[in-house]
Amino acid sequence: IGFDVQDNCALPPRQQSFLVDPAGQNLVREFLTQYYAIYDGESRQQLLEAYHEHATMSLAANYLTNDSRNSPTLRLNSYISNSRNIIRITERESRRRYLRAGKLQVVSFLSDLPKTTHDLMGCAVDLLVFTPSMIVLTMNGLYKETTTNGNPMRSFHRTFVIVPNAGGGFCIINDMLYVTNTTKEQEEKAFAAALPVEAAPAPAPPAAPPPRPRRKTPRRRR
Amino acid sequence: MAEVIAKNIDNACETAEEFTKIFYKQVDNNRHLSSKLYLDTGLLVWNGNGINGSDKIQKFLMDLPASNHVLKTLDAQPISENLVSNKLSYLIQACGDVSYQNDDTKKPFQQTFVIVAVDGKWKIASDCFRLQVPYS
Repeated sequence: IGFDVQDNCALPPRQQSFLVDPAGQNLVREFLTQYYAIYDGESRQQLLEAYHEHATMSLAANYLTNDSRNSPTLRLNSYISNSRNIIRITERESRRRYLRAGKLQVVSFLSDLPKTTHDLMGCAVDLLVFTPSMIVLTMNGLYKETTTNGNPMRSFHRTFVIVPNAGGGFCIINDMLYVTNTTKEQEEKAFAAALPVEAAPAPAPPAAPPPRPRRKTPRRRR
Repeated sequence: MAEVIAKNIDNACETAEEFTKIFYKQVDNNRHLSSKLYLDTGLLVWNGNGINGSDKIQKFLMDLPASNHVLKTLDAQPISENLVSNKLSYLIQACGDVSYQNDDTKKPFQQTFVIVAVDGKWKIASDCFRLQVPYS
């Protein structure tokens, strides 16, 4: 005779995307497409327009646990040296310093990170807040470093807090990024959708026209 | 002014440390109490599944297998105060490994919270949990 212990403990199936409001779908897609066209492009300087004057940005990086692979491409030196992991960085002064504040500092910091190509099609995107005064969206996915030896792939988790700006568009006021190595499972499925993001089939439009309070941003300067 | 901002940065970090200690202890050991950490109108997005409201969050969490979270990386930023109903609010990112009752392997996870100060207590306005797995 056995015991009636919980047997069925599978995890709920995962979904690629969550939208707190379907009306936010177009804005999120346009924002990410435009942002990463610049971020993955020649110069990240053009992202200046995408950030609020008092924007803050921080990066934290860490290695995967029990990763037995041994390759120089797995080294995260260019991230770890800037990592604001407050479990390790315990002094207030250092914690303040590792938080990049003001759009000039933020964009100059981003410009120094390795050049990338993101797998936007394989990204999980969650829209957590969508109100006229504030948008919060989180991404989970991977990118390839394009000018690093061996073109290593990295896994990232990133959150943007976005607010309306004076010009009738939007800008990023908080940007928080986590970088680690990709797992083998992630690498096998990486860039599986070979289509560029612009060529993706448009998802079904929301039932009602989205209340677009402002124009989208960031806009690419030519 | 600069003094206030610096203090707020310090406070965001120290609150994040305290908050995550309590949060993961409750989720791993006292999950039936977890809903108290969320706003009544709080939102949990668990691997892309959205759960609205602390009552539903409680039920969802209770149905997950027993867990053990180990935090490896933590980061926090103040959110501009006029954004979340004029309340003090912080953005917190916690990353580490989680293992579940049905499977001893350590799975990397990343979790981002927006917490707000309401009547002298910190409450989760939104909680986004993602396992580090392929999503395509």
